[in-house]
Parts: sequence; C-alpha cells; structure tokens
Amino acid sequence: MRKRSFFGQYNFSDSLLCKLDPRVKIVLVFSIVVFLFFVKTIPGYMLLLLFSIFLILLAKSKISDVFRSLAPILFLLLFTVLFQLFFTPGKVVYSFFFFKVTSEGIYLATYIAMRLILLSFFTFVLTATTSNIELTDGFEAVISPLKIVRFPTEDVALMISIAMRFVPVLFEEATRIMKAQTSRGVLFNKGSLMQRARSFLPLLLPLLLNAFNRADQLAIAMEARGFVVGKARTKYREMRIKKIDLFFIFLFILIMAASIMVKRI
Amino acid sequence: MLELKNVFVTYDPNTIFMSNALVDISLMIKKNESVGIVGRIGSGKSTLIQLFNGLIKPDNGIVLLDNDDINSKQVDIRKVRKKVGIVFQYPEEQFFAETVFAEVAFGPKNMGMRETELKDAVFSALKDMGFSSEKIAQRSPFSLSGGEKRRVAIASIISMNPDILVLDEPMAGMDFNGKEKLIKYIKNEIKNGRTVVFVTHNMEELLEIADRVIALDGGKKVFDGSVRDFFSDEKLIEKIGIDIPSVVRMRNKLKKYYSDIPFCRTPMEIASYLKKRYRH
Repeated sequence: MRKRSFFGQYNFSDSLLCKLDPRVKIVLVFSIVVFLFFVKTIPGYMLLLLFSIFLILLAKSKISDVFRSLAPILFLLLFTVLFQLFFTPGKVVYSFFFFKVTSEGIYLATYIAMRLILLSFFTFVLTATTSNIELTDGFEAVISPLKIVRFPTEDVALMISIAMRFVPVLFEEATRIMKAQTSRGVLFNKGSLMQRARSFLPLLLPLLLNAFNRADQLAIAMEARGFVVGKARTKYREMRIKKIDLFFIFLFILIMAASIMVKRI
Repeated sequence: MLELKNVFVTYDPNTIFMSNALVDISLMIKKNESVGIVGRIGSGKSTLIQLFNGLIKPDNGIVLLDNDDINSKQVDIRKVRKKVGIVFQYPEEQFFAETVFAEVAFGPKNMGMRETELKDAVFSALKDMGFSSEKIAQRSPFSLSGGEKRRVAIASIISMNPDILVLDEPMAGMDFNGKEKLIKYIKNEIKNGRTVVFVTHNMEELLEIADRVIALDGGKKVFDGSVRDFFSDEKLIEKIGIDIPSVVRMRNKLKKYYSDIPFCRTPMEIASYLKKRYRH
C-alpha cells in the first residue's frame, strides 16, 4: 500500500560487508562487473551467480528486495533476451510462423540475461551495504589520481553527495506538490499522452523553482560555516585497508579466475 | 455535508515502519460550520484532511460527501475536489503560472469553467481575499509579498467555489499584519456561508476563527465539541500539549472573583464585561 521506504537503498546491519573499506568495495564491484563481459561459459556464470547469492546472504538483505531491484531493468532484459532469441542466425532448433529459434540464439540470450542479472545483483550488494557518505568518500578516493591532470575530484564528489542527499527531499516535495495540484483538479494519470505531458508542467515548474531556492540557501549555509571551494579539507572518517579487505580482494580474484578457468576442465 | 465513519489509516503495513496514522475516526462536518483541528505534530491532522477529498483512501471505514462514498467508482473525484477545496501548508510553493490570473484560474479551468464564468470566478475569489484592484491579476505571482502570495494561493482554491474550504496551517510563517488580514478574510468566508475547516497550532487563531474544535492525539479523536468546552477542559489541554491562550487564562482567573463572567474570545470582550459591571 503506502510505502515510505525505498528498496535497494543502504540498509544498515552488522554484516561483514558493511565493515569493508568502501574504496575496496567500489573497485571490486566495478572490476567484477567489467569482468562479466569476458566470461564465455555457462558454468562460469553459474559460479558467479552462486557467488553473488553468497554475497547477498552475507549482506543480510531480503531476497524479495533483490528481486525488486531487478524491476527497473525488467523491460530491457525481456527485450534483449527476446531479440537475441529470435534474430540470431544459425542452426534452427525450433520455429513457428516466421520466428526461428537457433541454438546460437539460445546461447546468446542466456549470456545476456546472466550478464544483466549479475550486474544488478553485484551493484545491489554495493548500494545495500554502503552508506551514501561512504560511497562518495570511496568514489572520491578512487578518482583522486585524476588530480594530477587538475580534475576537481573533491568538487565532483561533493556534487554527487549533495545530489544524493536531496533525492529523498525532492521526492517528498514532488509528492506534496502533486497532492496540491491534484486538489486543484489535475488528474496526473488520466487523459491522452499530450494531456498527461501538459499536466506535469504545474508539477515540474514549482519543483524546479524550489530546488533553485534551496540550492541558494545551501550555498549560503555552507559559506557561513567556512566552506571555501578548492581549499583542502580534513576528513572525519579515515579509510584504512584491514585484513578483512585483503581477504575479500583475494576472494574476488579467486572467483574471477575460477570462472574463466572452469571451461577448460 | 462531510462525514467520516470509523476511518482507519495505516502507513507501511506489515513492516517495521508500520504506524497507525488514524484510528477509528468518526466525525461529521455540517454546512456553515467553522472547525479547528488541533493536535501535536504527527497526531494525524494532515492525514485526516487528505481524506476529505480522496487524496488518501482509508484502509477501513468510509468518507461520505453529501451521502455519497467519495472513494466509490461511481463518484467523479473531480467533483469531490471541486466541493472540498484543500489549501496545503505553504501553498505559495505550488505557484507555476506567469500571472496571478492564470494561477487563480488554474483550478476552475480544470473543473471545466470557461470565459466569462471563469473570469468572474477569478475576480470574485481575488476580491474575497482582499485584492480590490484588478491590476493585481496581470502581475507575476512570484513578484508579490509573502502575505499577498499566501492570499493569492488561497484565492486559487476559493475560485473553484468549494462548499468546504480546508486550510492546513494557513497562518504558518506569516507576519503580524499578514495574519490579521488573513483572519479577517477567512472570517468573512465563514460569514458568507462557506464551511471552513482549518488545522492550527496557534490557540489564539483557534479562539478567533473556530466555533468547533476537533482534537487528535496519536491518531485518535480525543475531543469534538465547542471551543468553549475545549478550553474549560484543562486536563485534556495539558494531555495534548497545547498552550492555553492568554485571554482564556485571564478569564479563568477572573472567574474566581466574578463568577458570572462569560466565555470571552478577545481581550475586548473581557474589557467590555468589566466596564459593564463597574457601571452598575
């Protein structure tokens, strides 16, 4: 019915994964996601799937939440799978009307489905066990080598953290304005596509205006507390690589290697 | 006439965030009443008023407007929203139009009003909220002062000519002058026969505008009766954590010495009572 909580969001627990260094988590998840595209065998994917389920269990997330995180990519998933299934040339194994299912098509469709599902599983583990602050701190550290080429890594990290901080605020405000305009006779989910598009103007315009006002206030509040763009800042939380981080780095490398090797056995 | 029968509203059912916003609320708001809804933050006031025009559907119980269940499929929800106009907190934050006219015309236009009828509705609503000059209609709503913005926002609901006007903390964040004016215009609406329901934390406003009080505490209705009875129940007032207005406190103290002092809403009423008494 009425949900106030979001899924896929950070969900604090005493899980081992919450204690990992965010930099390590980001790098590991990023590399395994890239790695997904180099695995070429079904047993390899099976191994990775088992590994991702192991991580999800370790993160103490609800299985139902994990499946709900698939919802946004469901359409993409179905579309690509069906496309691969029916339009890949090769040996025909089954046909009806003008559709032809080929064995190559089945292989490709399975690969693509596995890749997309695993991709969202691994990123789910990252966002479910890492708070927004940790994520941006970790991200800032990961991109910090770019400072050499004068890329403003700190500013970019700050921008990301502010953006993430205001997502729930904007969401709440959108609901509020939507209710106010509904009371003035707007029906947001009725009428033709054109009418619907037009009915969003009274929602988006105030939302945008208020967001600009809020940005102004935030800038003043930050300056009042001594924030200066480009000045070096100290950190409240220090990130340190611990034994457990090294263990997970080792585990990830092991799994990745195994999933490539598995076809030769 | 608006009626709620045994209404329950629950947020996030079956999760750890579950909370009962409203528990077994039954009430009836008759024509031409002025009702103040009071209670602590989180007592369910905002949830309650959103039930009035179907923005929230009750999990249990029914909401009747002129004896029709507003959440049934046979009822046109737009007609319900025309009859029950809700002005939310800080309503000026919903402005989007280029002119005051377009802003105030938005509601009635959605309700199907056109041309002269629309024009009349807009200008009469603006007049009701104290804008006598028609020049205001061509200004940008963003260029107005805080008090003017608030009054335009209320006019944008009044222009639909609702039977029941519902206001969620209409005076929040206003200066003294703006408040005085707003109270005057809201009282005028009541005098002209509009039913007014408003949420407030300010007891002086309650005393000035409302005839009837509905008090909520933890999602339950704990009081429903006249303003006079409300302020004489000091135990209840303490329980729901409300400040007794100074006028009422003074009158209660004077009662020790003058047992026949009537219930007074303003300092002037106390003064005129004392004046009358000492003339004799």
